[in-house]
Amino acid sequence: MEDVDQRRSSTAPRYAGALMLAAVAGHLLSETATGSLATWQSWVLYGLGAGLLVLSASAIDRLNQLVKRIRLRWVVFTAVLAVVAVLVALAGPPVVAYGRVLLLGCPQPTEVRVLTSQDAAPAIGEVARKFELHTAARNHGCRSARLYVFSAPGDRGAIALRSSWSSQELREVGPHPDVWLPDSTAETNEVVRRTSGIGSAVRVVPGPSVAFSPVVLGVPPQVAEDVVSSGSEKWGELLTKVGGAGIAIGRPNPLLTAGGRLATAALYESLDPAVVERRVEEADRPRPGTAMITTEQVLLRHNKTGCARKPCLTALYPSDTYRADYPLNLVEWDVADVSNHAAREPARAFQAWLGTQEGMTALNAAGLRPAAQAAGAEFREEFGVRAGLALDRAEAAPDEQAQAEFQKKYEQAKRNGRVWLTLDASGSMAEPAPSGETRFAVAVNGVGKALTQMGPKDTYGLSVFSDDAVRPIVPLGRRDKEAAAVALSTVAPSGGTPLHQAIIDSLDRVGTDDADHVSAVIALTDGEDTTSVQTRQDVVDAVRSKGIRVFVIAVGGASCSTHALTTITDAAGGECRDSTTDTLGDDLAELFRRVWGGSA
Amino acid sequence: MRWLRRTWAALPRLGPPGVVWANRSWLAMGVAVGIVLTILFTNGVQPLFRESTEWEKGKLLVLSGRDQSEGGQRKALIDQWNAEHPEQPAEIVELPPEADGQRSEMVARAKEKADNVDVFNLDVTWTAEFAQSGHLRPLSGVDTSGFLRRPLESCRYQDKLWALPFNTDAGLLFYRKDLVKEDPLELDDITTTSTRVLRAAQDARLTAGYAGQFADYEGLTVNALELIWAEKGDVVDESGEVVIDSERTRRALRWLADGLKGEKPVVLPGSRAQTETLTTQAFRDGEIAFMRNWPVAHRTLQGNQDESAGRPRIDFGVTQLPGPSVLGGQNLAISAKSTKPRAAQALIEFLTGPRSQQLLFERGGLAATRGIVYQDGRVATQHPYSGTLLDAIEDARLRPVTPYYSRFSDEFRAVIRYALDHDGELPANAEKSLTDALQGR
Repeated sequence: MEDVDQRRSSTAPRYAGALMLAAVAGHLLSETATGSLATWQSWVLYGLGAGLLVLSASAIDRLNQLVKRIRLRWVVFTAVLAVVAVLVALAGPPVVAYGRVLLLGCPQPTEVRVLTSQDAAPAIGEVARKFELHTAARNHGCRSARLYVFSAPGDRGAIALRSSWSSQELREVGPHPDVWLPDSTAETNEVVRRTSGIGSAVRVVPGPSVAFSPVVLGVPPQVAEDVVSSGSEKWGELLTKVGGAGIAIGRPNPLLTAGGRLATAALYESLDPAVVERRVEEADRPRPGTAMITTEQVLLRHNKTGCARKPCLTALYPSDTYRADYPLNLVEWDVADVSNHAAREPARAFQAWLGTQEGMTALNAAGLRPAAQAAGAEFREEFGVRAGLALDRAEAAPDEQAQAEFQKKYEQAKRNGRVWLTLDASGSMAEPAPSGETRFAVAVNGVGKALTQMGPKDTYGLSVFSDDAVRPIVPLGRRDKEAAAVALSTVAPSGGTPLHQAIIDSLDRVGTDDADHVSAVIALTDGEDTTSVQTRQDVVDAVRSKGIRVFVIAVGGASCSTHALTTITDAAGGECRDSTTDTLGDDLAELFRRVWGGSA
Repeated sequence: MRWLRRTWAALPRLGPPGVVWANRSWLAMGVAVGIVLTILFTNGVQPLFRESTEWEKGKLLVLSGRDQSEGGQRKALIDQWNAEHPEQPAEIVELPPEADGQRSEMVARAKEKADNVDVFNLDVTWTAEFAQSGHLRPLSGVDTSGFLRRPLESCRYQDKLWALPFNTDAGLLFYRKDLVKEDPLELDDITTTSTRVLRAAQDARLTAGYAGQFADYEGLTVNALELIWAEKGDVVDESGEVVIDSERTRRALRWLADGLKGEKPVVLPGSRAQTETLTTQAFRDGEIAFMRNWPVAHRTLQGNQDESAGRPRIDFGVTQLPGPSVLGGQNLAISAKSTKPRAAQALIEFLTGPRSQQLLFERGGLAATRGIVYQDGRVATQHPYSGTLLDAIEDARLRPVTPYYSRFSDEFRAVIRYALDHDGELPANAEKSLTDALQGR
């Protein structure tokens, strides 16, 4: 009892303890009243906190007595305080973080949006998953970042960045990126320059290349055996030899894709541009029995996953080839709404990790070649590629001046576009779009906008289809943009949808490709074929035999996949696009830009 | 009794050393003061700061995926709201069509300091994540009567209401009337009927019995869950435990893995690469007798049927899936950072109100979240499947509710992909990896 009495002699701690308890009780009550303590975990945390509070209040009293017995009290006190402070500072955050994870689960990972090209998206997606796992390893098993990898077709990503990601681009391309990983450094320069000015909402911080992939000529294996004679042949020689073997050579659009541009630039150095343009045809993806200009990683992935008998394509490595070099650029937004500051740190961590051994191994496994690591086990003949490379060039892409010259040469050399456009004028086109106009009126406006994309030597023709007839209203070979508007103003939509008949009719009118022309058919429809005599298979056969690219834009009730329109467009390397009435004009304009070679 | 008295006497020495229990009056007084202060605070002080009920003025920003309704009905509703409430005009910021892209942009915007969004249009599986991350403001004083039970349930997390259901969805079983005479009640019925019609070879186009969406995206999660539920198995039970390792689950996965094999397979092998539209296409082309799909496929198939004059048409019927469907749909929630929560709530209540729901369903084809809409005559004629759909929604189940749903779905799909490649067997660590994923690991 003496002990207790002694303690009573000082009243301060008594107040302290009781007051703490009272405060805890009061707070507890209000917490329960407002419902903040909803889970058992929060109760446990609360209990621990309250216990600590009360204990520390009483501990102060004990300590007080202890301290009185120590000599050089203040020195010891300061030393102890310093040690405790250091301990807390060092051990505190990780201990708290671990406790939090144990009791409340993982904190949500930071969202990082990664924009890349359509070609690179599958590989970058794989690498991103491995980075997420890597962040988990140092963070109590919780991933600290989530990388959303998405892609934009052609150069749409670059265009969207240059225009600070408009609301239309948000709707059609994807979310605001925090990381931009394009195919080639050549693509970034212009964007960096355009966005570095004062007043730009976006800043693109150029980063180093993370890996490379040479541009190759993929050919069917049997052709590869016939063609290859020596180890080091140039683009020009290979193209001539493969062309001589009698198979078609597909090339992605040089104005829209890095692979197409880099290969064409190298080809122009050894062959006359006009010869090159007559020998290649446009293609987005490999087709059976044809050769394809593409990057090595696309070919490797195609052989691994997209084909039945491996390999479908064997890569030929021209000695003078350029390469896609995948620079990782950080994108910083200065708009209050969308800046996503939190993503900057994990984005930089991703960049740094790609340079580590682990990161390079991940890139290697995805079919890319990090500069500082030898090609991994993925690179083997079974998949049509080889590990060792002997490339002449030190630079990944031609310099800017050479690129500008190349573009000029391409404009002159490319064959002129000859486009037949056929428009749906069935009854359903008279239905109003959300804007209040009819679908047909929206389509007519879109055509007007698209025709501005016409190059100096390009031509077009136009027909409409309804009921069971296809009516040509502008003959092939016209160049004036007004002819279409005048002719279309007399059309009143009604009746059925003879889409198949319209496409076959257009194929006949536009004619096949020749030395000076590249032909294409563009059909715009809002419904399935209803009144044609010809079946879908008839159309597919006609498209295949003529080899003319067919593009379909589906609006309103039409759908590319549901109505199997893609089987028609796929027959000769065209494309089907689902559109809406508010994006129709832009979709049409983009298509025309493609078939006319992007002269805008 | 002696020990009791002794303990009582010893009490002053027990307990935390600093608190002197002998002087209990201090303690009692402290507690009393605490209680009185709390009562005073909650009843006396808080009401003084209680917000007014007037709607704040200014533009309301709604973050949403693209309007997939027929004829832009959502936009039409927003126009109507704007005409009636010129001081609180609403604007929809449309995000990319892919759900993952929408989520990514919404999460990033929610973390901004600025008040940059008032209303989120969330997929039903995101409620938990957004609520737990503090991105949402709980709703209060909302009349929730009239909403269908299941869609409303998807708006709750930890006993709080975070959103109101905007539109709902449930999977249906489409079948060809010329081949199927009775509604299948379980998976085995689908097998029996499929085998019979494949053997009879009435239709040369027919290559398999059944197709769903088994490509590697959210559709695979949905389809696999439904098949497991159809065999009365489960993946995550009511209490949040992973219970995937059961004979019933294995039976469902074996049904699918075995079905995909053989000369005349029960399940269309191509469906491992199919999304909703591709399955619709296969069904329309007569390749299959049964199809699992969302009701929107009905619109497409019906539209085709009306237009296809003089060509072979698919005469089809719709019924419920053999087991419960996964509940789909979207919910409207208020951003925690919105400076206009009362106006935002009013907008949400307008968009989920009976009249709006009627218009969205009747004209736009988006399944309503209110029961009364399904009793309407015009809706029933416009959408003849609405009765079946209502039953399916009432029987539907939520996907596992966890703030880490997307992790869980990723992991679950990996398990299913393994099972499909290994005759329906589960990977050894399935239970652990799914349990970890539910915790966000």
